[in-house]
Parts: sequence; C-alpha cells; structure tokens
Amino acid sequence: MVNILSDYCKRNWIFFAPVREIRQTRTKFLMPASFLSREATIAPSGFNRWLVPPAAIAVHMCIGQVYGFSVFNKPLAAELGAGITQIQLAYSIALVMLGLSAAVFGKWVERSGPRKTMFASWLCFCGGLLLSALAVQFKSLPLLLAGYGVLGGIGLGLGYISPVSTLVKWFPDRPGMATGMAIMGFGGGALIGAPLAQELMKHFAAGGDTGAMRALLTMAGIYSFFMLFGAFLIRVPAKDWKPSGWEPQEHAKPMVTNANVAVDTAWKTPQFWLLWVVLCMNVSAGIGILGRASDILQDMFSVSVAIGAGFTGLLSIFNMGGRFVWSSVSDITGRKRVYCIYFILGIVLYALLPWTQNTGNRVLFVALTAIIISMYGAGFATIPAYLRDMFGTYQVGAIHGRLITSWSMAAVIGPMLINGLYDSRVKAGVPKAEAYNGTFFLMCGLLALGLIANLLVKPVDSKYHVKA
Amino acid sequence: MHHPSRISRNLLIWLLVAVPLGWGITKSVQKSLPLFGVEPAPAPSAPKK
Repeated sequence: MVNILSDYCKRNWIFFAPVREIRQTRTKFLMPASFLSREATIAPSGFNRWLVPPAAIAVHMCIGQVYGFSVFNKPLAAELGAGITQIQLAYSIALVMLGLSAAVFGKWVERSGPRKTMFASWLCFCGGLLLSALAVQFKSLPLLLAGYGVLGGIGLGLGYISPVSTLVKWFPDRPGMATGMAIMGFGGGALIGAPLAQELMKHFAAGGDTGAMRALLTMAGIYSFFMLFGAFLIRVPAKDWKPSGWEPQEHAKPMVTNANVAVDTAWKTPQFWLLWVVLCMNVSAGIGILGRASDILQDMFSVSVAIGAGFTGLLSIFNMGGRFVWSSVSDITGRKRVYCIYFILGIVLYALLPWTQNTGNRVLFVALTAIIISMYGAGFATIPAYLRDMFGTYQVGAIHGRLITSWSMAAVIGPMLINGLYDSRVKAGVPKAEAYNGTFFLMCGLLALGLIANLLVKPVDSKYHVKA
Repeated sequence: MHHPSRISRNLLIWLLVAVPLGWGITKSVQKSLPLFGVEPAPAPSAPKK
C-alpha cells in the first residue's frame, strides 16, 4: 500500500509541489536547530580560547539570580495573597529541579553541545521569569511554583552544567581555573540578582503595586540578552585541538587520568560516591552558616540588624571570590590536596569560632567565617576539575550533573542540622550567644567525614575505562 | 601578533560580563560597610516638586 502511494506521488510529483514547498519552508524554519548543534559550534582554527569563559560566566551570572530570589518573598506574598513560606516554596522547588534536571539531562547536554543547552536553559529560565510575572497578574500561586520553581529550575540545571565539559576541554592545562571562573559567575549572580530586583521594584512600585511583575518582566529581558550572548559566543574545540606548547603527560600525575569513563559507568565506581560525599559534606558545613549569617553575628556579638546584613554581604563576596581563587590554586596543588586543605582548615577555623565569641573578638570571627565561606564556594568550583581528573573529559558534564544531587541533599541537611541543634540548645536553656557553639563543632564533624571520604579517593580502576 | 580590532572586541566581550559583576560586588561592599563602622552614603533624595 505504501509502495503504491509512493509510486503515485513520484509519477504525479507536480501535484505535490506545495507539499515540497512546505518541506522547504520547514527546512528554512529548522535552520536555527542546525545553528544550535554541536557541529556548528566547533571553533575555527586560531579561535581565542579566552572568549569561552565570558560565555560561561554570562550564563552562570544569570542563573545565579536564584540565590537572590528572597527579595521577592514579601512583594510576591503581598501580590498573591500568600504566606512567605508558600513563596519560598518556589525557591526550594527551583533548587530541587536544578539537581534533578542536571542529573537527568546530563547525557543530552553532552550529546547536544553547549550552545543548544544554553539556549534551552534560556528558554526555561527566562520562560520561568515570564510565567512568574503572569502569576502576579493572575494572582496564581500554582503558576508561580510551576513557572519559577519547575520550569525555571530546569533552566538552572541545564545552565549550570552546560559549559563545564567545554571549559575543561579548552583548558586541559588549567581546568580548575576555567571551571572556577564559570562557577564564580554563579556566585556573582547572587550579588547581582538581589540588588537588581530591589532597584527595579523600587522603580516600578506605585500605589498598591509592589512593582514585582514589571521587575520580573524586565529581568527576563535583561537576562535574555546575557544568556543568548553566552549561547552565541560559546565554541567547542576541534577534536584534536590542544593549547600550543601543551602535551598531555602520560602517567605524570597519578591522580589525573588520560582515560575516559562513561557517565553510566562512572556512578558505579566508588570514586563517584566518595566525591558525592566530599561535595555534600563541604556544602552542608557552609550552607548552614551562610543561611543564618546575619542572625549568628547578631546573637553572638549583640550587633545591629544593619551590621548583620553587612556581614552577609561580605560573606557573599568571599563565596564568589573563593570559587575562582581556590579552584585556580587546585591546578597547582592537585584536587585531592586542595580538598584536604578545605576540610582541615575548615575544621580548625570552625573550632576557633567559639573562642572568638568568648574573647569578644568580632573582627577575628568575621575573618575566620569569611575564609570558611570562601572554601564553601570553592567546593562547588573545584569539583568539575576533580571529576575531570578521575573520569576524563568524555562525559564529565553529565557526571557533574549527577554529582550535583549531593548539593540538593546538602541544601536540606545543612540548614536542618544547624537550625535543629540551635533550637534544641536554646530550649535547653543555653544563652542565645552560646547556642551556636555546638553547631560549629557539628560542622567540624561533617568536615571530618568529608576529609575521610576525600582521603579514600584513589584513581579509577582501568576496567571502568571506555575502550578506545 | 593579534589585530588591534580583535583585541578590542575581546576586551569588549570581557567587559560585558565584568561590568555587571563589578556592579554586584560594589553593591555588596556598600551593604557590608556598617560591619566596619562606616555608614553607607545616603541615597540621593527625590527632587521636591
């Protein structure tokens, strides 16, 4: 039957000219798809690899806005007639979706290349902001949760892992520095997102209107520009490209492999789960403090709310700077050693915090906490290079995507532990100023667990390697 | 030897991401001033109509 139809069409092709035209139009319409493909992003000879980090930073500094979402809590609660806890749910859903989408779409990201992924990330993230604006218009909380939480969260996950694989391929000589720059952009996004939203809402507010809707629309426009700029700028290196004067050194460093491990195999190795614990413990130890920084300083040193907020601002800068600085240091020291530094130094500094409170040394407390938070940020930034060292460049982006689930876990257990222990100590009659001391020692315990996991990391067995 | 126009294009590309990041850092530094006992500069008041 199909053959008869096919023959008839061939003989009477003239009657099917419109169909052919439609097909041609479709091809034209689909042109952007080929522009977005991995093949279309292969860099020409002589391309400057230093143009790749700005592309990655552009995307990361947009999606980093999620950390500044809390400035929308009160305006959105007022606009939607909801509680702040309900609005915060959008933020929590977005972070959960970040981890899930990075884990689920990792292989697709490796197949599709960075440009298509960044483009998809833009569609989801800025689409999420637009849906959030619509949610304000229609006073719909479910639309906010679906828009910012689910759709925006998928955009976060895709955007977060999109440049990782590309960067480590462009900078095989300095993978820590390269991924550190991109992930520093994510930290920087938090510094931009919150004040930008505040300035925009202040500008658009009028009468009973908080200005949240127009602020969200404007942010969608601004972020669209930067994310598309990143997507168009990004390039992948040609297959056999390497930096001039650089040669891969076979077995020169025992903890850096020249072999490759596929994503589906990687997560069956003990190294994957040890690194999962390493990231989870490092993040848990930092996130619990970062989330309550202002309260901690106010309770421990009886300072004003403004000074507490200033402390949070300072920590944000160290969180961002640590991502680049420590990650670059890891290229010199090696990844295992630098994580040992994060854990051992972290344990020492956390153990010293109660002493700074006893002696009333606020400056020292601030300095020690700033270093701790710099290593918290560094944990995120150094892990892609650690994965590259263990599993090679083949599917490092997808492996990174699966490892990010440890971040989602840490986002839950970190605050739960610190808040739970603090509340129980206050209930037990411990003065507020001293109630945090127990939590600091708990953080030492988490870091000690991370240290043990890191010390157990050994090169991946060759039976897991992809056969050439 | 890189062409001057290529250098300025690369510089422009880096500036495009450095400027927003710099703005974010400046805002955070301003926010952290009270921590060091420095009062942040008051926001310019709206002109009287």
